[in-house]
Amino acid sequence: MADPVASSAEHANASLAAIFAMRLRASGATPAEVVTITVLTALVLWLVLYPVGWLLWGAFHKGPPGAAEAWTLENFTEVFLDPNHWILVWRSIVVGVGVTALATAIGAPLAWLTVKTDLPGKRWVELSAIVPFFTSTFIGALAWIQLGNPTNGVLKFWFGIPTNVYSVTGIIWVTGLYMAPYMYLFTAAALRNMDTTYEEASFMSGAGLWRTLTRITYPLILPALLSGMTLVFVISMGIFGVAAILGFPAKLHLLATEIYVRSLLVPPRFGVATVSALTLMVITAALIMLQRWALRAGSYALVSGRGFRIKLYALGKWKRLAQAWCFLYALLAVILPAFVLIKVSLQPYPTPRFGPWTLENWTVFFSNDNLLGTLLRSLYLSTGGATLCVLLTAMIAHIIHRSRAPGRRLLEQVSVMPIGIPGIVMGLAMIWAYVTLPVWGTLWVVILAYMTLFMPYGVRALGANIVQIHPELEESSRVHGGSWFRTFRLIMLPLLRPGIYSTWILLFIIFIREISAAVLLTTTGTRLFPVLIFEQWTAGEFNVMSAGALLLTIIMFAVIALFKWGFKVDVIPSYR
Amino acid sequence: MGLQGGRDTVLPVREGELSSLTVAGLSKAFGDARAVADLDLKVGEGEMLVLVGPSGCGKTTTLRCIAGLERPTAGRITIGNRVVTEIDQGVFVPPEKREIGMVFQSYAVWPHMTVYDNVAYPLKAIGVLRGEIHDRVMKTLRLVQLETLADRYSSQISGGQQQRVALARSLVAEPKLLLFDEPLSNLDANLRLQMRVEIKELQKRLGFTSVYVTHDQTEAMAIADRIAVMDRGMVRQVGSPRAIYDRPANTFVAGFMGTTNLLEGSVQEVTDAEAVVRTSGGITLRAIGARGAARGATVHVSIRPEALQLCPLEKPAAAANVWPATVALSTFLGDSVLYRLEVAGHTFEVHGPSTEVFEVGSKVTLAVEPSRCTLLIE
Repeated sequence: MADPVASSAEHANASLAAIFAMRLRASGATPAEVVTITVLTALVLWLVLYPVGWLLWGAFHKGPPGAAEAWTLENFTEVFLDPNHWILVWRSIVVGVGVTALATAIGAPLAWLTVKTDLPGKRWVELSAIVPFFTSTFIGALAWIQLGNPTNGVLKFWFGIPTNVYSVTGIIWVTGLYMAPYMYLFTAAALRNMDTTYEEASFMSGAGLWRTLTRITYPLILPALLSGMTLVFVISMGIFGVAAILGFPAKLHLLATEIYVRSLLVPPRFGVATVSALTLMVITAALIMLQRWALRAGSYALVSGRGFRIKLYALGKWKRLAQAWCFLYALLAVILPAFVLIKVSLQPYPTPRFGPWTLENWTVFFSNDNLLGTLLRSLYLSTGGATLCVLLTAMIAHIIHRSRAPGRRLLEQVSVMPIGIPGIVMGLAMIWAYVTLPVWGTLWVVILAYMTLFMPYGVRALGANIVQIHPELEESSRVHGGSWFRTFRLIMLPLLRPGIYSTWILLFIIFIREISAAVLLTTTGTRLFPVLIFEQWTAGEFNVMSAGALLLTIIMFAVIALFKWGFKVDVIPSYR
Repeated sequence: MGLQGGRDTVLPVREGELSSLTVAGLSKAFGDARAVADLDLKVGEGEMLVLVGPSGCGKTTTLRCIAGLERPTAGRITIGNRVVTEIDQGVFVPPEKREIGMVFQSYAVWPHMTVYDNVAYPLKAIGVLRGEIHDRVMKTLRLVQLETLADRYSSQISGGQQQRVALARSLVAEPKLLLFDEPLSNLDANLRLQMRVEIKELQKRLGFTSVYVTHDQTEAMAIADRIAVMDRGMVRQVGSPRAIYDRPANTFVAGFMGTTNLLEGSVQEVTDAEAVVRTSGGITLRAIGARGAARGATVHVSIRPEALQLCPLEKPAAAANVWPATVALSTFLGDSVLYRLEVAGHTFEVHGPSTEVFEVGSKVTLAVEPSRCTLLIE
């Protein structure tokens, strides 16, 4: 009988291909599985590396995409010798750090209060911590311009509070406010999954609340906190919408907006923009690697497997203060912005006063073909793109968590790589990669860019759902006569349905509100709604575009409501 | 292989006897770790073979290889007269083509289907005609007394009922072979006893061939026609529950299947059936199972706690092995008393009747028949 140890020794000198073939056979993967993995890995590699490769190529070339001339290092020397560039790098890092700190300072305590204490009205707190996640930083910035601009902001006019959102502080403030939900979600998930007996054991050992929080709770949720903070930092470093509408009036640029401006100069300076984009991507990639390194020991298994109750701390006399903190956040992130957007959308010109009133800003949407057409185009794109992305990521997540075939690790690593690519960088990379191809100028380029950028979200969210499904449910089907495909169709898909729905909504919302990646990619025929809002806003159409921002928000919430009450789907995104 | 000596000596399936499952030379490695090492098994028609052993002994891996859920590193598996795995020839029939049924540890009752749909699934998968499906599903549900719950979902029935759904689902297509992967380990103690009896009754009534994996030696003895005791990827002994318990082939089996007193000693004398052993503590005893034992060899003797008799010192029992002992600990268990006794440097566990209780510190006589002392060479 063949001895596996002896036979592997025989093969020690065999070629790599033979070793791979042997591992493949040993893993028990079916040919169909191997083909699927190979095709998916190739597709994902192409989605990610093709544009990034072109971006690198572009950095070393003179001339615009599609008409690049000779190899050159001029782009690098021009950018790196420009002191202004390093100011932008520094400012972008300041914004990233500031936003991360603010979002953590808001989100983490909110999560602790809702998960671990007897805070009254938790449903409302949770709602106000989630809603800003769905509205997006860009719409938040539009509202905060009305609230906090230095000349006729509502806060200054009515309350005498001197605020200036057209500043680095303003950019950090608005972005941090709307990134706090990310920190809330990451922290709340970690706290919910943590076995309460870890903390109880600390109390039994004589430690007080403060000691338990700092020595037990904090280290246990630290991996989740770091993952959340890295994500927030990477997103805020590359954020375009807020940085543009708050920065441009003050001639304040960040790396992300600089890429945009240089690309749109006449004549455009693509080489220089590309080097800026690379700088940005190097910083975000370095940070992600730093986080991986910090977590190299692996995150803790917080779940003990047994069912456990979460013990709630009594807030006692601190209850009022905690409630006030939660209300303050709801006020600043949801109530005031919503109020001011509604107000402005009903007025003929920007003013902090009440009145005069008009409905014209709203009616224009249903009479102007350009506006309506752009809105519909955004809806098509988000519906189709989210569907394609869910299909792709469902297959990837299923393979990552269920297959034992070699190559699945590579697929996993590549599929989460786009986390480190800022949207505007992806937009520029797509120009380099596709400008000479026939798909250029169609929505397909945008869909490809979005699918690539947001693939990690789908893989993570669906993966979290797949690991909840016991492998024996699938094995049981196989043993009782069901083929692989029958099992996927009749067992896996129905069981995964809630996860598929909630991931679809997540992607739909992200797609419909995305602006960073779209702003360089869309032209007259493919203009998307958030880009239109941005362009019209900078052209001075404050009131009509306030209505537009509200319309976009209403659509997002209508879709969420449809899924929540129509399909009974939990729409709060899940993170691993 | 020396370690598998017991396999050949105790109740083998004779050559030519009808065998429903044959496993030959099965090995499975996960990376460098070998879960199953060159394992052979035969299961006869209508027989229930129980694979038992400590966790990590390879019993579940063996079962999953038989099911086709794992691809072995080497070996050949035949179900009925069909080769379903032969790694050397590149034969590996996927699980759905093996015509088997399986009951999983987690039950794996699909939560999005009713009880009826769960049980109908195997029939639909193999393309049984519509009209026939209903009759066969209902017949099977009656068999496990679930006919009234056909329209329920798994969340609406108890753990025991889910277990029956899993059983019905594995039976409905009348498979050639039924596999059980620790099916009772998630049930509470009372239900476990009840289901154990039900599975045994069904097996006797329907006569299905099955392989049953458990880590619980009591469950194994209660349900098995034959038991294969596994350790570190190898079968250490195969035999009837009685044979395994009374005639363990080695110290591992003696220790794993029930509690036992193991005494180390050297063989002094060997006769036809018996041997005289002098233990390390200095007592001399007569034991059976001497075949293969040589004079001077170091051996173990296994004595079950219930085989030992306790008598008051003043009226010693008439047996070949009699020693004076001191009661070190006595634990009242209700139906019996568990003693710990000191005998010349050895500690014995003994079950005594609860009618006569010896106090701690009292001197007693300990006696055991040579036929209940098993000599173990390994």
